[in-house]
Amino acid sequence: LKPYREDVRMGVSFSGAAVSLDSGEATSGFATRPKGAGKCDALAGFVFCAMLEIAKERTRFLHIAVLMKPVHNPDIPLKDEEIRDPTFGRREAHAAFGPYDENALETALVLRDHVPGTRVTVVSGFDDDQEPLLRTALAAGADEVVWVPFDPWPLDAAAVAGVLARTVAALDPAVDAVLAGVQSGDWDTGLVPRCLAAAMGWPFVDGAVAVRWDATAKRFWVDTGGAAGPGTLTVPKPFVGAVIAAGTNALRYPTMRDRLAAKRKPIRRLEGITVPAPTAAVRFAPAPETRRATVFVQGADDMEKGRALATLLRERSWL
Amino acid sequence: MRVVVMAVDEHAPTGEVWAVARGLATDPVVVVTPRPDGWWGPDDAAVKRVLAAAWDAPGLLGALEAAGPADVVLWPATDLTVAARVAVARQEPLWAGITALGADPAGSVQATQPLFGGRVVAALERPPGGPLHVAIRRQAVAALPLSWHADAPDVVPPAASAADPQGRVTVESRGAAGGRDLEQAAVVVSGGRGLGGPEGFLLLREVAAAVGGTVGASRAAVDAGWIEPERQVGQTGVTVAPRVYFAVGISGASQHVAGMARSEHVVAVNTDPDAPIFRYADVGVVGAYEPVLRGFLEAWRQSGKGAV
Repeated sequence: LKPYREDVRMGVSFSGAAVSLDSGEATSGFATRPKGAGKCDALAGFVFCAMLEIAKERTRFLHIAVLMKPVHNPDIPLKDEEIRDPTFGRREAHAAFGPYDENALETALVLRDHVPGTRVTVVSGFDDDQEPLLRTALAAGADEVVWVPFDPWPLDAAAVAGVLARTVAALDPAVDAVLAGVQSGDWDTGLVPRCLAAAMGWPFVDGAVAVRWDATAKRFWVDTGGAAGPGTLTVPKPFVGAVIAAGTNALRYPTMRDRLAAKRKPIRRLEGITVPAPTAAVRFAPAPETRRATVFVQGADDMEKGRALATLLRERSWL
Repeated sequence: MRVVVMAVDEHAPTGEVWAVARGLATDPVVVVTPRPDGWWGPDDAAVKRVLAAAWDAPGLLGALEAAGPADVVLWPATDLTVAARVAVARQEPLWAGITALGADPAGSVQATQPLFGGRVVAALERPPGGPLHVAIRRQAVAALPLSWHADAPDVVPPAASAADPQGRVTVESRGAAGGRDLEQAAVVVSGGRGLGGPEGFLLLREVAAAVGGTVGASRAAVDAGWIEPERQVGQTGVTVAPRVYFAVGISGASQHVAGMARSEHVVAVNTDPDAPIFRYADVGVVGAYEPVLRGFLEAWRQSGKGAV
């Protein structure tokens, strides 16, 4: 262990022992000892406490919670009868995690790759049996899944975030950062991570593509992208980050060994979290078809089709 | 229906909020502005009161306290983070991504919200009682043109009890925003997974330069790392409504279509004749994108058009 300035300060604060190295006088727990004899003891005590605290801090690794929501698999077209079914959104036969939630998990796993010992907990809230899907998060590398059985569909984003905030607050050890997909893949409002940050009283970072931990400064460095443009932010722990796809954070593919190991990892059902009553009624219907009358460009080969396309667009004065 | 309009600036999202407020409010609205010297709104806005506040959670909480009772607080789609802080602090519901908003005489608020990239429509109804915060989806309604009103607003102090954790975030570096030119472009040439690699975007940039447009991308192309995330068109990325939208090698997933469906004309190029993108296209070309675009460029330049 290589102590640095802040760790030593923390050690003094934790132990409560105030030592004057110039005079050799000690206060607090060492103050009752004879003045001269206590000099070495006090110093040793100080060093011991400092080292203990440094060790505690160094072994108290990061704990990252990742919000992952089961949604209808976007690769499987929704049928009208599925949408009209009263259980739409609550019972899902073709469940997948929201694509951005997968980016969030990968971002957390990459952080763990660089800060060994980091714990990654997936937090999920829904009222359905989705254990096989939850196991895929464990196979990808999450250490644990915490599942809160509640139905988020009738609730607004602020209410859902309230449930998740109570869940995150109940996790042990305390969470250092929450990562979530920028949008869920179903309602796609992008509100829940923002509302969660508000409910926890934590900073919010939008458009995260990578997260690094600076152990010296005790701050996260977050690379961001998206419509706001590329950038880098620093933020102290804890914070909430909404993660976007960036080409560098596609979820890793688990090996067979990972899949087998996932069967032994815990899925913890967390009961007793207060869920508020819905504040609005919601009905769902298939969106009306908005098909355009497509004109297909013809040609002997693809080059010829391209030339015909240019002619067509010129004739129609679209460009 | 008592409405508060969060009029942050002169841009389209604020104009969209004003458009919804016009159809919703039965009383003159309360306007909240970040400027102490005036506010942005339509020429004929019926305004009860204008409040100036710092555009952060403490400032806007103070403004809403001063605004008095309200049924709906309307937020621009670009201000979701601060809207979330305010709604959560006041323990009031928050809706976003709303495409239509109305109310009945009894005071119930009804809204329409697309889900799953527009495949599903949710009809929301909130019974009377308590304020509701609503953010209107970008380009869901036609923005009203806004004018500067140089009336001195009532300057409101921030809420004493509130703190803003966003102050703990430090910006170390920030590049140029990439989405603004996409939003405003008359022609967008977008590429997807069908390009097969990042080199395909070189050809798309060539086409975009020739037709005076800019380059966009689907989520699949961004996810593959072929182009920067700022270029993503779709429900998550930038919502565009250009005069002409080229979808090249894009299958037409609903999340992408949600971001370009309001384009005036859509041209799709895809090898798969059954690709869903052709449902949303006015002109379709079934073929490999590279020879199609080479042929297009050749003919376009021969016609004397294009900047190249």
